[in-house]
Amino acid sequence: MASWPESANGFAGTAATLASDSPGVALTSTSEVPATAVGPRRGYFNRSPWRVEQNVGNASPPSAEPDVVPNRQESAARPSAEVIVGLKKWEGRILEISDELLTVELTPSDHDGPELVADFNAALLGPDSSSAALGDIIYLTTRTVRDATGYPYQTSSLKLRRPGAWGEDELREITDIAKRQAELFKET
Amino acid sequence: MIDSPGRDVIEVSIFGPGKGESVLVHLGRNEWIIVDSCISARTGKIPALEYLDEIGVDARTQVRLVVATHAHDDHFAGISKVLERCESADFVCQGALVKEQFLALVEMDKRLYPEVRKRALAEYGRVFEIVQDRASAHDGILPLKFAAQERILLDDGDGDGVRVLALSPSDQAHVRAMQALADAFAVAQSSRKGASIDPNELAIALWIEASDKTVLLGADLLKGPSGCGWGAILSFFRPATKATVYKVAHHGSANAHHDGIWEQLLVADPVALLAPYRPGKPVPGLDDRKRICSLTSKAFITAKPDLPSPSKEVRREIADLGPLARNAREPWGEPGQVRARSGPDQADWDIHLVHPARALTPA
Repeated sequence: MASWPESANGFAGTAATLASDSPGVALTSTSEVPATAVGPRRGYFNRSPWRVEQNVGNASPPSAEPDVVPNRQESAARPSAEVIVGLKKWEGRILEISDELLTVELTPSDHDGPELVADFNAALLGPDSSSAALGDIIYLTTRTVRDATGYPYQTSSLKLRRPGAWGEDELREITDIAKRQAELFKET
Repeated sequence: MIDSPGRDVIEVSIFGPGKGESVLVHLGRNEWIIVDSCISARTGKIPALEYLDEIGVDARTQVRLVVATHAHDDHFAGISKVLERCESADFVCQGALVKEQFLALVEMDKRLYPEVRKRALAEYGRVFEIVQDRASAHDGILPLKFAAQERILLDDGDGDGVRVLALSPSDQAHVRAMQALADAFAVAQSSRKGASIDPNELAIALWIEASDKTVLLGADLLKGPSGCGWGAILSFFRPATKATVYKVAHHGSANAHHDGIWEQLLVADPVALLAPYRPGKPVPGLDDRKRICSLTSKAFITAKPDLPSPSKEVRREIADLGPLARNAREPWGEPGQVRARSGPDQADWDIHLVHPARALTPA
């Protein structure tokens, strides 16, 4: 489990953590609330539209991620804690990959809602972008965070599911099952 | 209640675009076939089955074939539910799908994403369970038929002239598919990925003769590659009577268009039926519409090819997706129906459109 380092402009925000073994990077966007709703800006609030979360390991299914932990350095610098007031998750299946865009069919995974299709910049998957393939599963998480001044903003992250490697025994078992099933259809 | 077709009336209805498109054909004598499946993204219901209920057809006994033309989920989403209802029907698919290579991919898919709500091949897993369960009620005979080029799937041979013929996949397409399936199987220590194969070249195009009517259902069959697709069909199939209704292949896209279809298999100015595909680049596009409308004055589509207007619920969900998502949309909308009916000795077809279906226009 690891939290990300503070970004160059000093903003770290709430932290998403990921379990396990191989390193990865997820890009997270922050979107401002409309100008009329944004209060006076402070130093740490001067965030860029994108920040890079260093995460470690395989993306987990929505039920297991993201844990939210405060960044200790940031907590000390902030006048008060930010609070996550909303969290929504979608599971997505990649339908098309073209022009560095992923077309993804999204299904709400923690709430009721319509299924949607949306495009994402493939680069948002960081080092996983080159291995993303049709049919792969991605997870989209959006968080609405209320900052110390009481104003909300939204962050979101996109992660490719990386379910590890096939084992020899498992593949042998799969082959055996498939052989048995194929036998049932042989006479047809 | 909507009126049901008379015993001697042939009907071809196309539903879409929900998750998928579906075609219903009344062969006469209260017998039907269902080709592919469509689920309404808004209601979760299956319009083809709802329609049969509405017109008083007992899907359990009156549907003779359920055909899955290919393994793309814009055609087979929900087909296991269709088969569950159609208890007397034989299930038709490509022979490659019951080979060890494909069944291994189904099993891989099951293990790969056990918690994922929508697995690509889960429908097939369920379909094969149903087929195997039903074998016991059929003296151990699986209610399953494999489609291949020139294979007759239904032939009543009693003078009424009901015949359902598979025009594809060709042997060449089958060989290619088997190779692709074998290549898709994982090797140890490789990344746990699902298999990605393109089964459009394996799609099952159907030639249906019922009473004095002839219908061509083009599925998503593409032009080629060599030895496959429409090119392969046109090289061997020269029907004595041309079709008067055509379910346009692959939603009217250019890669499924072959002049030979219109010259060799269809009468001049046939009824053309299609459903749009909108999750990716919408088809039929403008050029596709122009082309189809130049080939027939009787083209009908189940909904407008452009994206549907988003409902309030959809707009709210899109807003919640956050800033990473671009061009978020709900592409399925409400499925429409185009119904074509023709009675005995009737030369033309009566067209009935159910919202949002419409005549296809070039612009």
